[in-house]
Amino acid sequence: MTPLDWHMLLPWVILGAGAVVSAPVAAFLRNRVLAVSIAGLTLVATMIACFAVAPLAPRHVTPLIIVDPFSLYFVCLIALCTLAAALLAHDYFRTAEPLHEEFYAFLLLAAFGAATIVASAHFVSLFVGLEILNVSIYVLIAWRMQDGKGVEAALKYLIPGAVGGAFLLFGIALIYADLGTMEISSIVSLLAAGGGASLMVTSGALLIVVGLGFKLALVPFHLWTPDIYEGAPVPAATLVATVSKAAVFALFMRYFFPLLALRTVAPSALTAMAVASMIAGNLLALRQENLKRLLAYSSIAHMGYFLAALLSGGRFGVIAATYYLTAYVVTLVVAFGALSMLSAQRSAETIDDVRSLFSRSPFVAAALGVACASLAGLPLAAGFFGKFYVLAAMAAQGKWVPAITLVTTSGIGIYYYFRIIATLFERREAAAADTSGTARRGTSLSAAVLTVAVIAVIVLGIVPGPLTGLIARIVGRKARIGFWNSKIVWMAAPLLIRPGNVRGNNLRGVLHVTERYNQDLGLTDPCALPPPRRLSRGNRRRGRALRRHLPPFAVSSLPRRRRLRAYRRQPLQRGVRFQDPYRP
Amino acid sequence: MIPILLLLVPVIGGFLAWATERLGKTAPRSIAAVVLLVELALAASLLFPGRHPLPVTFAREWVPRLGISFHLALDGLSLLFVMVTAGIGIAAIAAPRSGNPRSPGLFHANVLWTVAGIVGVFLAFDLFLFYLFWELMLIPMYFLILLWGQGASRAAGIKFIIFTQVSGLFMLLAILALFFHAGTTGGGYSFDYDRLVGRASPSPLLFWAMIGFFVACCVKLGIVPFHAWLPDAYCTAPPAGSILLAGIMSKTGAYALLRFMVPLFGAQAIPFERTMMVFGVISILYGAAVAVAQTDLRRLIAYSSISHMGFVLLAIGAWNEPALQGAVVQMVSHAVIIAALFLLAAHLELHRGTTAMQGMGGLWGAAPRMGLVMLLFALASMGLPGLGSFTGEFLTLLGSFRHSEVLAVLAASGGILSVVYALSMMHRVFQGEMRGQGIPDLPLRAVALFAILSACIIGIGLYPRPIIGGSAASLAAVQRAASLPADPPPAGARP
Repeated sequence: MTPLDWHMLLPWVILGAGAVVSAPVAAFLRNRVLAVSIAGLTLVATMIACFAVAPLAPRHVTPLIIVDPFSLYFVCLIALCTLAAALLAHDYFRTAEPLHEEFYAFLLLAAFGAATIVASAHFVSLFVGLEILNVSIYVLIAWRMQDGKGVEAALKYLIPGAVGGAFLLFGIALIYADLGTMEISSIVSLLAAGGGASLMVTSGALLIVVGLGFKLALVPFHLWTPDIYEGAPVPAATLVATVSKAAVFALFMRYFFPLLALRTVAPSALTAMAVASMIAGNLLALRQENLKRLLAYSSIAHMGYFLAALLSGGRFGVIAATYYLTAYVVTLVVAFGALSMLSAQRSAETIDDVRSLFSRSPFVAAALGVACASLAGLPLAAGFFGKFYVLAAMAAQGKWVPAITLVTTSGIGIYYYFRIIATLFERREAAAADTSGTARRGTSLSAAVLTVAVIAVIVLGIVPGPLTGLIARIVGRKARIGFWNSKIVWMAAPLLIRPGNVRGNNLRGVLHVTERYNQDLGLTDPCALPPPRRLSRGNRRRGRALRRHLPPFAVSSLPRRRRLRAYRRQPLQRGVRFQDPYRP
Repeated sequence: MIPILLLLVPVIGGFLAWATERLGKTAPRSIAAVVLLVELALAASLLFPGRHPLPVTFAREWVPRLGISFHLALDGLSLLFVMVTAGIGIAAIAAPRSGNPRSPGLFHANVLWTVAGIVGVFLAFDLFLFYLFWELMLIPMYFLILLWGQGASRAAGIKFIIFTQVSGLFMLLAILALFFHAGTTGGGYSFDYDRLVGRASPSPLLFWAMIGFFVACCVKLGIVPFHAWLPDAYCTAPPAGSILLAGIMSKTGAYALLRFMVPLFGAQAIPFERTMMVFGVISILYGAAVAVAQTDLRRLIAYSSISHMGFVLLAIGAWNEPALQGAVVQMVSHAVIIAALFLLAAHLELHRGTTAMQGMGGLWGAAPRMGLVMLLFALASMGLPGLGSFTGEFLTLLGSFRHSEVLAVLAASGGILSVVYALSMMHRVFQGEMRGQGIPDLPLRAVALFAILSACIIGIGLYPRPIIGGSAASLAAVQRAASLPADPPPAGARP
């Protein structure tokens, strides 16, 4: 760890230090304002640190963490969402819960875990980050202990979370057993070099997808979502809906997509998962009377949209998914912010509670309406461009089945989003003068969050250009994920990876060269790249030749006993995974 | 600058109308009227080609990464429809508001924003921008139906928005398919109309894309298998809403077919013409037949509108010079007729509380002015020579007869049914024995409005040349564009 390494870690250090400091401060001083200010300052400082670090990125800090524009972007997004959740919590717990100062410490801890996930370059940091995130979310969900629903929700999150974690660990173990490394970029390179994956790696990757599918609530693993959204306190639900989804999705984009491109997992199976998520999420949301459950089911559908965008491949797919994810997260902050402002002593949850809300509190009703419009993909809201980019990414690669599924299922979505809008604006009957679900007094911080988020949704819906430009630059500068789909990479990978290169961040080296290839061929447009092909026989031979240069334990075709022996015999050397045996 | 002004005036006017609500109950209506008159005057200023010869364009970059530009243009056809939009908008806000009196400011703001969205559709020359306005105009219209509608307006509003949104997304898929097709065949990635015209080459993908585009247009037009939303929306919307919906929003579908679908998918669209004509004829016959059976005046008018829009589709399917001229004349005259009929229905409803025709009859004695106006527009609706729709239908039949005798004959026989429903409407409301109590006759302001509308419909019938002449250059341009040979992909291009 050089001083530069410490400097690069600044956002993570600040976030972790904030969590560590705020816990004793909350416990001993018991000052609500102090607790929320520490959390707010920490998160703002984290964002500033991201900008300070950005010029020096990308850099590997230890084999565990990679600090590149992509991870910094997501750290900023996570910090923003956590900030929103913290400010909402300040107003939300004002009357309901006298002791909630530690809530912010756990919020910061969750943000730290999420930030670790998006920057992880190694299975160890991935797993540690995921567990930090999970454990803090268990606590946040169960915050109102006297409320049976909260505890039930926490249990329901704990069990799938633990099962998902077990799947993830087993998948990691399988991959490690076969390839002998846990560094994700090395795994990708090894697979590229070998020209394909063994059965063990395939099943490992499949298990990892299952583990992450639990976190993302993709369709066969989605059953926990509505109960969590319903039972958790609204700020905690905000965190689950935005931060944890964004972090896991960033991870998905960064690493598992290249793994998929290398056909460890059949892409058609994932496409089926995406399509099933769209259909099931939208259908289940259709008859929900509870707004939080409705948002939960719609989040399942949206995860399907993201996954489909990502699977459509190409750099454009990654840009589209990142943009839509950002738009979605901001929209959800609006939706949950409005719900948080509405939940008085008796929480406002069902559609009936927001009936003719517009005549009672027009601002909150308008915000909720904007959120619904954005989720439905209406123009002048962020979701419109999100949906447009996602459809464009699918059309670019000719993925018409998920595209048409998206179109038809979002028709279902329009029904329930517009049902909310229609209820919000319903005429008030003269007799209905009850104040259920009216915004409480003393919610100025929530109102500020809501205002900023609504403005963000509308601005993103009118001028998406700057953000997509930023995302495109970020995706361009980090490992060019989408190019793994391209023929050129497939052709070139066995030639380019020299054993000496197979460590650290060699992925970037490979991709830098491919980019030059692309420029030489005049292929500047990422949309024009063809779908992946099987390697030619010559390249497969080159792959085999290359395998001879790898250490014996990394060659999956050798018997397992020999590989283990070779692995145990290798000299222990820090930071260097594979050594060229022929180099003096 | 004029295209962008045409967009901004109703948008800003909408906010102004909303804000002036507290000045008084009638202030928003006056503001809206002034705004629409300004809009009309702005558009009319282009009729005199002095400093601004047509086409007038306004283009700025918007999302250059994806080739999206903010490209507005006004040629003869757009100008004609923008003027019709402003005029029908004035008729819409002049309609009596029989529904609930809630928030007149927001009501007029929504009317003006709908007008802005529709004007945007007529001005957009970038396909993405076109799609944006296509979706955008639905939202204020949805609120008009939801908040100020009568009866089951909530269900009708949802039905309206689901039909139009989903079909709109299919249109978006079609646009994207065209965009990527043009990009990969060497035309460059752009949503600009001028760069996409003539780039479609025959391929099954583009054929299905065209079907998607066609379905979206048909939903807006209310062509028969896609019309399920239309009668409910027309009947539950407030009068202003139905006038906007039937008068101009349905014309955006025909405009999209004329301006975008056939020229852009030229190579696919030419063999598809016969199918379009068949859909048109089915709509003519079905709409008229169902209209005959209606007992509610507004539903009858709604189904007659389906029948008339069938003529427009028939004309676009025939795709030759007289037919296209007929389509344009038919669109304009139908806008005037349907606006007048819905206005009359609104007056009836204001006094009788319903538009069901069972309880009506013999109203001529009580309201002779209203009866006279109704007679005129009923005659116009059935296509009496000398009135606007006759010119349109005649030119349409002339053009489609060249294309297919059988379909033209079938379409013409729809005229018989239109006589039946138009006269029975007249008969059941104004003739016969007086039933129920009488109603006051039209107020003088309404008489003035109807005088203008009647002058329009008679003027179009007797002297349609300004409309035909004004749109001739644009029609020739779209015909040229549709017959462009598809470029073969340049040598060395990647498939």
